[in-house]
Amino acid sequence: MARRKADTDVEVDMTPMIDMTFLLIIFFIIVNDLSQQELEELKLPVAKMAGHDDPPPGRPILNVLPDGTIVWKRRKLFWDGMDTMGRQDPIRKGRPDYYWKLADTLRDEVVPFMKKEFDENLQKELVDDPILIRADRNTPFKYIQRIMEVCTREGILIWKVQLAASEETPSDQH
Amino acid sequence: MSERRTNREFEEVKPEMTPMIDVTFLLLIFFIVTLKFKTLEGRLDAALPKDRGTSSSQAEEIEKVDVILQVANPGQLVPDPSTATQSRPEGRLLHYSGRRIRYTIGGSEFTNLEEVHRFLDKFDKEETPVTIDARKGTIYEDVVKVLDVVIELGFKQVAFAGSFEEE
Repeated sequence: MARRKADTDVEVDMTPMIDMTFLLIIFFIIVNDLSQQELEELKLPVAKMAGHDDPPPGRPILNVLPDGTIVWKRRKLFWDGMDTMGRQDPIRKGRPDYYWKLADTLRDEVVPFMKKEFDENLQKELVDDPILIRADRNTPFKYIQRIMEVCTREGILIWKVQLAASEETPSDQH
Repeated sequence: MSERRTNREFEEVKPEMTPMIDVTFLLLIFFIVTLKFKTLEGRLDAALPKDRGTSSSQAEEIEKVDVILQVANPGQLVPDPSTATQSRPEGRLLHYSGRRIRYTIGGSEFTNLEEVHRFLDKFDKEETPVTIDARKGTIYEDVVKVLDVVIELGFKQVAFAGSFEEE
């Protein structure tokens, strides 16, 4: 009689399993760093001296794809063959300014949120926070030079530039 | 009849767990799948001229080093086996194979980085400013390799030359 009752009454206690599952979910939510979403998929060059990067929160990241396309927060700020809208480069006078969108975005959406410091020598307010240029290893260097030039434009004045590189295994080199 | 009803009311109320467990597992699987582990990336610090544009101060008496990078052989853009995946066993991303860069420092030419390393080692690292002048056709990787050597040697002042050449 008693045995029969035990047979019919097999009930799995769900509570520990649900507890574990929730725990796992919370773990994955935490590990799933949202700042990673700003990183485009590309292959960084290898550098021995690449200091380990502890990303400061809010540091702007400019991803540069092999064809020079600049992606910031999933937004394209420059691509090859972009419309200049008739703008001219403020540094190279008389040349079309293909980087107006990058310059405008940096000036209006990035620089206002960065720390500034007044430079006595130049009598100018400079940005004291760094910007990370995260370029694919095959990117022609002229595209990165252009970004650096844009960083020194009036109204932006970012001078701390970090170049992303990976401190990887020798098997990665060729 | 009424007796029966009260009996029922006192019956244990068991919430239906199955949908909740389903949803929970779904969420769990979603987070596992979308998980991208923190990629370990390094960085090299550099500084841009604080004053806008290129500096045109010629009257500099101090010794300075200008590393000019020119492409000797651009190499071939081929799939990189180190980025192989199951669907693309030959490599998902491309890299240059057989690429050669010519480094010119103060009139002497070098073809590999070990020589550059040895040559630059003679300079006073605290005082000598180094300018990396990447010419036409150089890619980011070439520049990072040189920058890596310069930083490894301990040079304190590293700058990049402007690119005012015609395209």
